[in-house]
Formats: sequence, C-alpha cells, structure tokens
Amino acid sequence: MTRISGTYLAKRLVVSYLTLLVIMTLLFVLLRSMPGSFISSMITSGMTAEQIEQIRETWGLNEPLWKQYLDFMINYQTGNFGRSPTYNAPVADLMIRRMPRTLILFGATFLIGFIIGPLVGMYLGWWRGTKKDKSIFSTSLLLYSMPSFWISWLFIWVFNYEFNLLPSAYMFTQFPEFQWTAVTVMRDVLYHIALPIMSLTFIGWVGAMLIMRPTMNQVTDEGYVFLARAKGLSERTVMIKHAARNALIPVATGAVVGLAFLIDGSIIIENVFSWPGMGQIIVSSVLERDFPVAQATFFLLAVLVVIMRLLTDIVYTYLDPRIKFGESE
Amino acid sequence: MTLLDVNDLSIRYAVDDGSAVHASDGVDFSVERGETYGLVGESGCGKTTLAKSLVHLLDDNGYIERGEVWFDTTLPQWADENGDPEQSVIDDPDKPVRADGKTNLAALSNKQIRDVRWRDIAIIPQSAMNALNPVYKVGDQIVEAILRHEPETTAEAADDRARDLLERVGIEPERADDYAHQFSGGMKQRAVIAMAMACGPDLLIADEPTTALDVIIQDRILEELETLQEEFGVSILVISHDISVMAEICDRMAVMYGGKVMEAGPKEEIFERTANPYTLGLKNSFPTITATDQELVSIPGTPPTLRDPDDGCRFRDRCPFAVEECHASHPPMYDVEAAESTGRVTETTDDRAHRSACYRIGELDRLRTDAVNESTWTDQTIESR
Amino acid sequence: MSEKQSGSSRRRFLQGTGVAAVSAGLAGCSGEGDSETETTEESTPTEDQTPTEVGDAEDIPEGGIFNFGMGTAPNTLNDLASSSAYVGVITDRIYESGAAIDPVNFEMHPNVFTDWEAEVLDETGETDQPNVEIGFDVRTDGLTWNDGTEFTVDDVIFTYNYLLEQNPGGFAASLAPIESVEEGDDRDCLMTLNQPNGTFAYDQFGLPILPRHRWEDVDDYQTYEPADTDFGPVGLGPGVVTQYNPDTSVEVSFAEREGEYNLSDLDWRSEVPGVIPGGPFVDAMRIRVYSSQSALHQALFEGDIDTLYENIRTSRIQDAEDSDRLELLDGFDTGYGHYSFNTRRTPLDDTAFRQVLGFAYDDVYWTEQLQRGYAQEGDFVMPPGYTAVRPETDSDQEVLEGSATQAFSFRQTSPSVPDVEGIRSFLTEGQIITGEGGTYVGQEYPGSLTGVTAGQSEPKHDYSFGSVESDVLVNADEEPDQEIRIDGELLTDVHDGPLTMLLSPAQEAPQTAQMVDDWISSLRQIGIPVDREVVSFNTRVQRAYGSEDFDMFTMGWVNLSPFATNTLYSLHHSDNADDHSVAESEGDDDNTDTLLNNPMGYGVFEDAGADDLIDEARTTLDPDERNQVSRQAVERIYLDFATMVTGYEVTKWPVNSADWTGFVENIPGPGSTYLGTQILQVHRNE
Ligand SMILES: Nc1ncnc2c1ncn2[C@@H]1O[C@H](COP(=O)(O)OP(=O)(O)O)[C@@H](O)[C@H]1O
Ligand code: SF4
Ligand SMILES: [Mg+2]
Repeated sequence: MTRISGTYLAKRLVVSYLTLLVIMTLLFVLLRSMPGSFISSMITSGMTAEQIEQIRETWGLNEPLWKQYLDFMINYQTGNFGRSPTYNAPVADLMIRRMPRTLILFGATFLIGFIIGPLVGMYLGWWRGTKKDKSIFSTSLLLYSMPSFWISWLFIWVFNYEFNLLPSAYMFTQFPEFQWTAVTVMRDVLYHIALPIMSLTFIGWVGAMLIMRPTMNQVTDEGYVFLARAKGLSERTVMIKHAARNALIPVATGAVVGLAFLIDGSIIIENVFSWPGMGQIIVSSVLERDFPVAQATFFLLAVLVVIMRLLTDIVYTYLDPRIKFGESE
Repeated sequence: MTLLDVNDLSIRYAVDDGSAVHASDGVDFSVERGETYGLVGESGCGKTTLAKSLVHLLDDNGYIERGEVWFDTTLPQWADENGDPEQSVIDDPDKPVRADGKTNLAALSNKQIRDVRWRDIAIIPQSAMNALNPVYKVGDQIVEAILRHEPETTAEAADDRARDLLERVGIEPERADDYAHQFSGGMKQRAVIAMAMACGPDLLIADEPTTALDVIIQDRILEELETLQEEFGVSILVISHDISVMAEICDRMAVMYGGKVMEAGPKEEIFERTANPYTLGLKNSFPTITATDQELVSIPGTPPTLRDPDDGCRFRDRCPFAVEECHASHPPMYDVEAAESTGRVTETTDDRAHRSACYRIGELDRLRTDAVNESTWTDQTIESR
Repeated sequence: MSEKQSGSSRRRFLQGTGVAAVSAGLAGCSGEGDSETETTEESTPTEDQTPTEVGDAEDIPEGGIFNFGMGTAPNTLNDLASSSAYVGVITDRIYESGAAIDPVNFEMHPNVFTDWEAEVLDETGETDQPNVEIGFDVRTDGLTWNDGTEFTVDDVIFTYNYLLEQNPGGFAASLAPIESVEEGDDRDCLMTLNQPNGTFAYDQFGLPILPRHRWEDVDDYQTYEPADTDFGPVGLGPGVVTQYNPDTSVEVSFAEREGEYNLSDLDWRSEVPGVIPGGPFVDAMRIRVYSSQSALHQALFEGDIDTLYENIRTSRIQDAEDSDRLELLDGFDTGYGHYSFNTRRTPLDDTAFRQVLGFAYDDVYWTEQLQRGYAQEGDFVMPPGYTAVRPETDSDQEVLEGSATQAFSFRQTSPSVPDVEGIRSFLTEGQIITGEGGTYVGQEYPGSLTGVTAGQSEPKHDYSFGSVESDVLVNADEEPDQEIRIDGELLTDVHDGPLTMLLSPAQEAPQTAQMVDDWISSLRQIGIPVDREVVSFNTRVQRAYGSEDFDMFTMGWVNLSPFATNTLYSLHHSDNADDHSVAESEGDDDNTDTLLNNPMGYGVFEDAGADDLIDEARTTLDPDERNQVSRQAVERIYLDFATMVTGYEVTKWPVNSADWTGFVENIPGPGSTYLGTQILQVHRNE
C-alpha cells in the first residue's frame, strides 16, 4: 500500500522546511522595504525623541540588519511571532484564535469543492459533447466568471434578507439565549457556516471540474477503459473505477492552485460574512502597518500552502503508482 | 460444432456530415469450437469493427445495420440447470434464442451483452500493451474480471487463479502485485492474454496480437495462443493485417477488403489455391508466404474510405483485373471448388466452403499467373472513379 | 472629504470601509462620502438650530438592550495602549476623566473632579514659561469603581504618576506639560504644569482615571490586557464589560455595574439643553462588529443593530429616509477636508500664488454636485460647529455665509468656468489678499473679521504670462493660451517640473478624484502647469507627514478639539513641522520619518505663520480671551493659505427611532466624538 518511503518523506520535509526559510527571508525583506518605516504606525506626533528611540529599541531596529534577520528567523522558528501593536497582544495568541476558524471554513470548502468539482467533471467529461454536458459546462463557466462577493450578496439576499433562513454574519450566535453544549456549538457553527460555504463552493467547485473534464475525456479513449468494458463491467464501474481514477491524478496537482484561489476568495468571504478568521486581518494588517501581524499571517498561509504541497505530493504518489517515491522513474 | 455463426452482418458508423461508413457489409462466416479463425486484410478494411461488434463494443457512433451473430451460449437468466436454454425462452419470439441453443448476440441489450463479454467472448484489444490500467496491480485487474462473472468466488480463490493464469503465460505469480509500468511490452501482452482466459471463454478474439512487437516476441505470443487453445480448447478469432500470421496459426480464414469478405475458407485452400485478386495482391506483399525469390510488391493505392460506397466491386479501383462487370455491383461469393473443377461459376451460401468474391472466378489460372508478375500491379493505370 | 485623520488630543484612529480601512501613525481615514443616491431636500444643519429638548429624567422608561454596530473590531480593552476610536466605544463606558465636556456649548464641567482652581506661579522651571499650579477636589462620595471597590483620592494621584512614569504615546501631548501631581493641602490634589495651559481641563483632566488596585502591578502598560482579567477593565464609568469577543461582539452592561455611579446626575447636565441627566437608562449596550461597510449597513436596515458608529454612507441616506424605523440625526463635522501646500517650494512659498489656488477651486461643484448637498463649503480650519473659535463670532456675519469667509471662493465668469483673465491679472498686478478690504478678482472682500493680516504684505515673486511651453500644458486638453512665468522663468524651471497633486486612487475616493481633476483643469486653463499623482492613503501620509516630499496633497481631519488651541498648535505651529530648509543639506535625521502634523511647514518661514498667536492662545487661561486669540490665529491661517479647507461634512447619524429616543441632535460628531452622551441618555420609546 504505502509507496512513500521514510527517506523520501524525510527528504520532502527538508525541502519543505527550506522552502519556508526562503519564504521567511522574502517576508523579512518585503515588509522592510514597504513604504514607511516598520514602526511608523507606532509613532505619534506627540512623542518625544526618547519615546521613539525606545520603540526602535523594543523592535530591535537599532541592531544591524543581519542581527535583526537572525533574530527574526530564530524567533519565527520558535513560534515567537512578537507582539501586535494594534491588537496589543502576542501575535501568536491572535493566530491561535483566528487560524482554526479559517481552517474550518477552508477545510470544509476545499473538501466540498474537491468532491463536487471532480464528480461533475467526471460526468461531463464522460458525456462530453452531449447536450447535458454543453449546458452544464457553459453554466459553470458563467458561474466561474462571477465575482465571489457578488455571489455572496446574492445568497445573503435570498437566504437571509428574503427568507431569513440562514445568518449572514459570524461563526457563532453572538448573544445566545441558549446554553453552549457540544451539540449546540456544532449546530450553531453549521448554521453559520452554511452561507459562507455555499458562496465559496458555488463557484469553487468549477476549478476542479475544469481540470477533471478534459482529462476525463482523454482517458475515455484509453485502452484500459475499453478493456474494462470488454470485461463486462458496468458503465458506472468503468467510469468511476477505471476512467475517473486515472483522471484524478492531475486534479491533485490542481489542488494546490485551488488552495491559492481559496485564500484569495476567503479574504473576500470572511469580510462579507464577518467571519473572524485570517482573511479578515490579512489585508487590514498591511494597511494598518501592523507588521508583526502581517508577517505572521503571510507566514502561516505560506506554511499552509507548503503543507498542502507536501500532502498533494503524497496523495499524488498514492494516486499514480508510476510515480515512485515522488520521483518519476 | 459451430460456435459462432455470423450472418449477413453489416456495421456502420454515423459521421458528422450525415453519411455513414460501411465498415462491414453483409459479412458471413462461422467459427467451429476449438478452431482458430483468421481475419486478414489491410488496415481499415473493417476487421476490428467486425470483432468489436460481436460484443457491442463499437465506438459510440457505430451500430449494427443488419445481420445476426449466433453464438453458442445462453444467458444465465435464460438457462436451465444444464446451461441450455429453457424451452419457453426458445419459443418466445421476443428472445433471440434458437432451438440449437444459439443466441443472437446482435439482438441483446447492453445489459445482457455484458454477461456475454469475457465470460463467453474475451477480447484482446488491438493495443493490448496499453490496455492495462496503470493505477491498479495487474493481478487485481484479473481478479476483477473473475469476480465480475463469478461473484460466488472468494477473493482469495480469484487471486490464486489470477496468479495461476499469469504463470501459465510465463509470468512469475509474484508479479501479480506489480503495476503495468513495471512490465515489459511482451509481458503486458501476455498478462492481457492471461486475463482473457480468466473466465474460461469459448471464444478469444485477438486483435492484431503481434503488431508492435518485435519478431521474437511475436512468435512467442503466437505460440502462447496455440498452447492456450490446446489447453483450454478455446476458439480463437485472430485478426491481423499480416497474412503471414494467418499462415502460422489459422485453421480457417477470411480475407476482408472494404468491409466485405473477399475470400474465405480453410487456410491451406486459400494459400495454395488462392482465388481472389485481392488475396493474390496481399500475398505478394508479405515475404514468407510465396516463393522466396519473388520480389515483394504491395498493392498500389489505399483502401477506400467506405463512406457511402457505390455499388461496384470494392476492390475494383486497385484491381488490375477489373472488367466492365466489376463496376455494376459487388460480386457475390462463388464456390472456388466448383469453379476450379468444373469451370462453372456458382454462387455459394456455404460458410465453410472455399469461396471467393470475384467475377473473374472462371479465369483463375490466368489471374494466378499474372498476379505473380510485378508489372501487373505496378503498370496498371489506376482508374479514376 | 474621503479620507481623514484624527486630530483630537484624545486621539482616536478612525477606520473606514472594510478592507480599505486604514490608520497610520497619527492618522485614520474613513472612506465614505461616495454617494449613489439622488439629491434629497434634506436641509443642512445650521448653527442656530438648538439641540433637541427632552423631558425629565423621572418619567424615563428604563431597561432594554441597545444594539450598536461598527465596521472595525476593537482590538484591545487597554485604553492606554490603543488609540482606536473603536476601542473607545467600549472603554469610554468604563473609564471616566476628571472633567467632562458638554457637546452643546463645549464647556468643561465637573466630572470625577468636583472643582478646581489654577494659579500662575512666578517660577518658570525648565521652560521659559511660568509654571502653573492647579488645585482640585475629587468626588469620592456616591462614586465607586465599577467592581464595587471604594474610590479614593489616592487612585487619582496614582493615575497621574503612573501615566507620567509610563508615558503612553497616545497621551504624550497631554502628559508633557505636567510637572507633578501630588496630595494638596487645602485641595485634595495639586497638579503642577510647566507652562500655562488654558485648556488643562480638557487636556490634563481628560486623561482616564485608573484604579490603583488593578494597575499598580502592571509594570509595562503595553503588555497588560484588562480583557484577560476576571472582571475585565475596572473604571469609574457606568458600564462593565460582560462579554468580550473582540473579533465579533462585545457587551457593556450598565445594569450589572457594581457599586455606585452618580456622574450622570451632576447638576450641570440638567442645564445643558438637550442633555438628559440620570442615565444610563438601558440595561446594556451590545456591540456587533461587521467586517464590511455593506454588512454593517445591511444589519442596520435589517434591524440587527439600532445604530452604527459615526455616520451613514451617503449612498444609503435615501434608504434610511424611506425607512419607518430609522431616523437620521443631523450633526456637524468635527474637522475639515483640505488641500495642503508645501510652503518650502517655489512658487508655493508665495501667499499670493497659494491664494490663486483657492480661486480655482469650485466649491459648488464639490458641495452640490459631487457631495449632493451633504457637504458644506470650506473656509476656516475650525468646523462651523465650533462656533466659539470661528472668526465670525463677535461679528455681524453669518457662519459660513459672511463675505469675509468668501475671500478665496471660486472666481468664475459663468458657473463652473474659471475667470482666467481676472485671476491672471491678480497675479500680474501683484495683488494679494492681506486682510484689508478691497475687490479681488471681481469680488468684494470686506476685510478680516478679527483684524489680523496675512504674513506677507506683497507677493514674493513677479508673475507674468507668456507662450505655452511646458510639456504638461502643451499636451493639456484644456489648451491654455498662455503660461505663467515666475520672475520671468517657467514654473517648470524654477520648480523642477510641474506642481504635483497627490491623491488617492479613484476607486477609493472617486469624488475626490473628480474634484481634483476639476481643480487641476481650472489651474491649467489659467496657465499653471499642474499634474496629478495617484498614491495610496498610507503612502500619502508617509510622503506628506513623514518626509515632506510633496507639492500638494489632499486629506481630511476629524475629532479636532473644540478649544482650537491644541489643534492649532499641532496642525499649524512650526514646532510640529520639519524644517527641511535647514536640515536637508546637513543630511541629519531630525527631519526624517517622524510624522509631524504640519507638513506645510507653516510657521517655519517668517512671512507665513501664526506661531505667536497660537502660543498666546495656548497660554491664555481666560476662556474668552483665549477664544478671541484663537479666532485671530484661525483667520491668519486662512489668509496665509498654506492649507486650503475644501469643505466640511454634513453628518447623518442613523438611529432606530421606532424603539429608541433621547438622542442629542445638531452637535458635532453625534455618533462618534459625542457618542458617550448619546449612550447615557438613550431610552426606550413609550
Ligand atoms: N468510430 C468510427 N467512426 C467512423 N469511422 C470509423 C470509426 N472507427 C472505424 N472507422 C472506419 O471504419 C473502417 C474500418 O475500421 P477498422 O474496423 O478499424 O479496420 P481494421 O481493423 O481492419 O483496420 C475504416 O475505414 C475506419 O476509418
Ligand atoms: S470482381 Fe472485378 S474488381 Fe473485383 S476483384 Fe474481381 S476482377 Fe477485381
Ligand atoms: Mg484493426
């Protein structure tokens, strides 16, 4: 079953780690080359020179650049993300508070999108050229071209304003009149996550479908699909077990790209739905020049992407036996 | 005993411009149990189409225009305890079953034909090397076929059988756990052959089994097929554009051109007493068949596209012997025996006889002599149609 | 005005729409002001409207939960570490200060301190200004901390000394003049200032009073988070924080406050028109945070919230007017929008030239067309609501309308067409508006209201007009027939390229962009080569306030002090300007990226500045005298024209009037600066 060898995994982990080091370095350079000083948001006009000096001292700006870099790299690797000047709190606390919310939204959306997308892609690819294919395909392209905030507002309008079925903001009921128990928490989150997920996946699945459909169509001409039919297998089995299974391989690669799109979409969605996750602070922290928060946010998103890469590589190896230990033979 | 009896089978492909490709046209032939039957002809003359149509595996745009495919099998739901059809089924005019126990495969539904596939007729596709699914272990793909048709078999038993089958075609049983990409080309071919034998079919269709393999492997594969036939008593329908393959393994054969059977009969008859200009031309273009000192001459021109063909002899555009008559209609099948011995030109409906479709069946000696001359083929001015 | 900075001494960053929200350094912006609605017949508030009168406290119904919405999260409950206005929405219910300002007359009244007395001493201390001693008494009867703990004089002395020791950046300006605060002999406490400060009750008595029992052990104020403690923040205010989810919602309960609170019952409250004593009347205030302006407004219309912070979007005004539930309360701006000029650069160093920039600004296009009537024409650096420090006060001219406020209004030959010839003559004839009456570019000016004159009495440069040569004008769509010469040279030669106006991308502030285009077009018609450069708010803050690397830029101020002196000092005094003329050559870093509020360099040069008047006002203790000097300073700033006030906003604060009443109307910043007053008196409709 497992084709992933320990050495391969170790090798990939090292590469992932090095990637993160590079990203951290880039972040360090990038945020320090933004217009305005790193600490300008903390300086107000009434401050005395000593106070400004003290802030520079606190943020280590009086150290030589290499020392700052070194400190930064060490701090980040030990989970010390510093303190946020605008939140007046350790950045790590902020991340611990917000990251899970984003992961829940991300995870659910990602999962649903990558279930629906390939499924639809499978059917359309299998029936390519039929009327059904053409109409569903063009509808989905139309969806794909809609801006996600627009879709969100549409859903909010229908499900919240018009029919008052689902809430349009937050992850939990804010001033509940019920007791929090495991059951009510679950129910409440589901109730609140419904609209954001619907908005994200309403378009989100199309990406995976667009990869799946042509590859699915290609594999229908493959010899093994013919052989599977010749063996007397049902069309369903042929389509799912033989054709779709092969067509999934490029979809796994697409997942990383999909994640990038999702990050993009979640910034909008979190703001539209007042979902208090990372997407909310990713832009505001830059605009407010809360550099410690901005840095940590970007860093964690990078970690997320790197982890996803690693995971998709493993999934890829599992999906395609021709890829042995992640290397082509 | 006859296993397969194909009657007047016509297959067409619908094409976008509204015309139809007549890939197979009024084909008659029959295969006996235990026999190896060959279909030969240049590429594009309808062999694969014919084979695929037997088990409804045509491309989406292909369909059976007319004809019957009588095969000696009974669907499980129609069979009594001996495997023979129940009388009520035979009597039922809606069920395509004959009193002799044969079922007309052409009349079966998609669902019904799936029970025939592999269990009765296994097909080794044209490019068998690419026919293994890259993402499943080779052994598992054999197991899948077994379990499909014999659901009562346990997974272990099926697995044992798969390994056994692989061993029989000369692949170590452990390789059942390998993936296709870990096999060589010849091994893949043999693995597919092993897979084809998994459910003990009555008919094995081997479409171009040797194409794309190097000569040594080619021979080995043909031997393999022969061994299997001896061992399992399976009938084989072998398809090849290479007439020398036919010479090697067939009992009987049919020469196809442009969707039509041009000549058919026992192999020796066809090779020794060739009775059709097309077969003569084909023989010229392959080495081992005729005298060693003869130059290889291929038939000039290419096979027709078969889109709504006109009425004349399908071969006449390339035939050096074509006469006026050949333009009017395609010739019927004539009895070669009768023509040779009595000089009489008689049509025949006997599938088993040596027969040939050519109006000049009465001038066989002349045809044979001229055909040996290279110039006969090369000097002819290809008629513009 | 699409983007604003906050200039209060109790400085609050303001954030605007959703992700575009910004606060930088001293500043915050709010990105509203873009309206899609039809012009309504809504009258703009005028100063003679008195705030709404309301009935007696006795028959006011109590109870209920008031739902409040805002578009930015309160990031902390540490009042010392944050300057966010959104944090203030909560902490202002928790903390009280020594004195209180009323939003109607802008007078300082007793609050935690019962009364006070200031005395100017002979000694001067380190500065050359005389020290001032302020004795004050502390209200310890009927007032406890909101956790029930007894409140003592000791807490007050602790607070000031703690603040002096920690010196939090946001309070630095108020803390700087304090020498010491100690126990007094005949008064409870004695505060010593190192210079006279007429507005000490607003500045030094405006600092929050902290409970010793909570802050004593806090060694570094920055790392303390009151929200993390059992009780939450402890203060003298009417509320306690009963729920704190900073990313989404906060509840401040008034019903659950421990101990006693009597600050809303003080006598002065019943004397201020529109102010209702005896509150708060609601049980709690629930604050919901939305991460987009659209969501916030929709929540208002859906009834999830009863009101929102600051202002309704212009695009939703019509919807609010159509709603049965909502009412729009009028208010005034607490600041102004402006174009500011870098007086260090030629020809912007000349008052006459700067005044011409004002002649080209079409106020009516801005207020009526682009702002659809929700803006007022700009003139002085004090908004019309701050009457005491407006130069019209004590004159017979009406606020905003008087001809003395129209000195630099748009000079046109017909609507929207600049009087090119007239303006050119103003320059070529060497005219300048110094404060003396006369006719300038075809318009009568009666002379300054306060008697001040501009710093310059005649133009610095010799202006003439000649053929069009600079690239900007040669290629301009306006196709001017002549181009300006400064002392005989092309502007692009003396200035090294055309004048450049910095503004925000059009998608962030579309109307500002349109206005700037109109203005530039007028200037080009006159023959002045001007170009525009689009930069983000932050970059603009950086370029203007940080490095003073600009010619002209547009921005806005909110939350200015109604007492003017602080505002005038920090925005228009040379102490708060970098003097590049001196330092640049030496390459030292005195002038680098510290954000100072006077980027114009106003006051740095002898011929344009109001330092003397500002200094005088700041150290004048008598309020009337002080206001008079302030008014002079304001008018001097107007005449010197280093900053052009482009307009004031007409505030529309939406409230759910179907369920609630008791709000004060016609005050500046009714839903922001003086939100506290509103919360104290809001109550259910019968
Ligand atoms: N799906 C199809 N649609 C249309 N024409 C087809 C299709 N498949 C095969 N043909 C045509 O049918 C004829 C017979 O093809 P085929 O059976 O593959 O011949 P062979 O196996 O003898 O090479 C050829 O002319 C070929 O072009
Ligand atoms: S019938 Fe005519 S064309 Fe056809 S093979 Fe015979 S001679 Fe040739
Ligand atoms: Mg073929």
